[in-house]
Amino acid sequence: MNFEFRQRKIKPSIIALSICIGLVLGTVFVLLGGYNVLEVYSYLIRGSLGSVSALSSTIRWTTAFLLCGIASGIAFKGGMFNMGTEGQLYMGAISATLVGIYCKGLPAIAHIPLCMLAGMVAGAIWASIPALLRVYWNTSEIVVTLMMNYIAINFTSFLVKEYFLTTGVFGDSLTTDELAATARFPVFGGSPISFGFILGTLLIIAYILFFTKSKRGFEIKVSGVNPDFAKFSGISVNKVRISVMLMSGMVAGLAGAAEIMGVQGRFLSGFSPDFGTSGMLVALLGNSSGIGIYISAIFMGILKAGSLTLERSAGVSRALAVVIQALIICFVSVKTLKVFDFKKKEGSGKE
Amino acid sequence: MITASIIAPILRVMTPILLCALGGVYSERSGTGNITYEGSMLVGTFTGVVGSYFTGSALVGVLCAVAGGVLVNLFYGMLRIKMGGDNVVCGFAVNSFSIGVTTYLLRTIFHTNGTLSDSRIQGLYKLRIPVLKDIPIIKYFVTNQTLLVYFALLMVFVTAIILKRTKFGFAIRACGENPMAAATVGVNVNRTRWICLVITGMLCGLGGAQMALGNLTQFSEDMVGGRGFIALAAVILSKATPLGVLCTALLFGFAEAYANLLQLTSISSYLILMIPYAAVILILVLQPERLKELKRRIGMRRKLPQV
Repeated sequence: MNFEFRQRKIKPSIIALSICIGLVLGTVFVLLGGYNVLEVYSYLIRGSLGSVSALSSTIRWTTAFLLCGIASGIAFKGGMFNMGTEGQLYMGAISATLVGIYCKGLPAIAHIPLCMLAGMVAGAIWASIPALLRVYWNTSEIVVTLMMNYIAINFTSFLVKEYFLTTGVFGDSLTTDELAATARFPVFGGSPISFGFILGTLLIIAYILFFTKSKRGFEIKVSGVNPDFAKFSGISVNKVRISVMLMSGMVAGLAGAAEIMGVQGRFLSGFSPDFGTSGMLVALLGNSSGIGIYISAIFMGILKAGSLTLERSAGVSRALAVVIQALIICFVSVKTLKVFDFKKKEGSGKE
Repeated sequence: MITASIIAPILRVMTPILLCALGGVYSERSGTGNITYEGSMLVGTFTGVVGSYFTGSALVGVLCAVAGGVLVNLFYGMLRIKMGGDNVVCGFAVNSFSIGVTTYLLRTIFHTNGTLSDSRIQGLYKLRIPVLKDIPIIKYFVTNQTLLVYFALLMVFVTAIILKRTKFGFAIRACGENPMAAATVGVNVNRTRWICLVITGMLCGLGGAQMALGNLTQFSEDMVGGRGFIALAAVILSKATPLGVLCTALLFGFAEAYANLLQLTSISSYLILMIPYAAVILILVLQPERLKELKRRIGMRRKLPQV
């Protein structure tokens, strides 16, 4: 039974080609739905890049995808398929919310890091369970993390409903009280959203430096690509796997915290439109490289913001974005597309 | 708390998982590394409901569900076998695609978001046998169940026989265990894998039909809710043996049926919804072999100081 995941090198040209194929097949779906293709694509672009509010919507989604993408990317680098970023995100979000609500009287400069720390710790704890089970018990981390997503979503809803339900006007929706003002992200350039984006950008830089310059980053890369080789060269693969999952969980928890502190302002049960899956798509599309993740997160952000506008104004389901994304990923990992990889052909011709 | 009446819901909720996991046995044994059960089942539920909605016939609905499941697996097969994709990445992408495409088509065809439930959707025929429904325990087995329940149970034995006793079964196992050797003795590895994928698709589609036309008569976004992954866990746990799959599916069915029962009590429904998923992890952890290994390890530790 081979459910081991190995990171594979993907060339940028193949990624570009898969994006083209994804968009073409997506167009087929648009045509099948009987919509006007030009109108659909113009809404997609106008809704994501056309105005200031559209741009801020794009940045809002990009931030979440970026953080989740980093979370998945770290795990992929270490050869773990962490499908549980969604659950870790929920756990991070709820603990950041609770710290944000109940630790009153702190100045913003202490409160914000404290909330983020709470989110990171909760995410890491949630990720440690599948990691430990995988390393010491040899249970498939894919299945365990998936199951823990459903558990986390229900568990947070339970916590909110039983203990932290807000008293007020929100009717049936399960929400907590609003965060203290000191726990919200500071306003940068007109909206609090951009702070998260800056945070994500800094993290990406740290990610690149970690994997290119540091010894631990190298160890992680080696044990992701070839665990046997890593073992023989004296790297403790088990330790690497656990640490990779912990880091992945930390960033996923941070993503949840950032979503609450930057966008939502309160914990709403089931708030995430499957950020975890989107993050995995981002990391896969970006080949888990720092710059790749950054670019593909922006791409996904554009697609998401555009598809929301598309649904509002043209009545086309926002799931169109998911269809296009998934189709792109389908073709990214495929080998035969390399036939079309012209550079490689030229290279082999010269030899 | 638990009475014999729980048998009926166990059978009902176990069937989709069992059908799907049985399909998974074929995929797994032939070495395709398929993890698209979730997506196949979801597309199966959708096409099943669509077929039933437009024709008003449950049978057509079931056939459409089967076709939907097969289509997803053919797509996966194209990516995996024809184009050599990574099984985890492709499987994950196909699952994600299935969620997207069903949501998109639901909106496009029916102009609704979320849930489609309509009186035009024809549910599956439910068994009612006059005499048997009055016999104490047996009545739970034969009353108000769809025929798919019995088909699933029958398929356990059919699958076992196919894998153990037929040439095709040998070919499947050979492809999974040693594809090179299988190819050497003249088994067409790719063709066998394609057939297995199609069988998987059919069974997953049937599982979807049981969910959307048997247990409920509606379609809602992401209605499978991880049952495909539970089926995957069942396949992994049982090492892809039909009887093992039946046992694990029974366990999961019990967890889910028991959770449904508990929902009538005052315990928070969110805690109860966690039970089936927690059960999967618990069963994964408490596998007999793992426990044996643990015993051995503990035994070693005890012995060590004496050495």
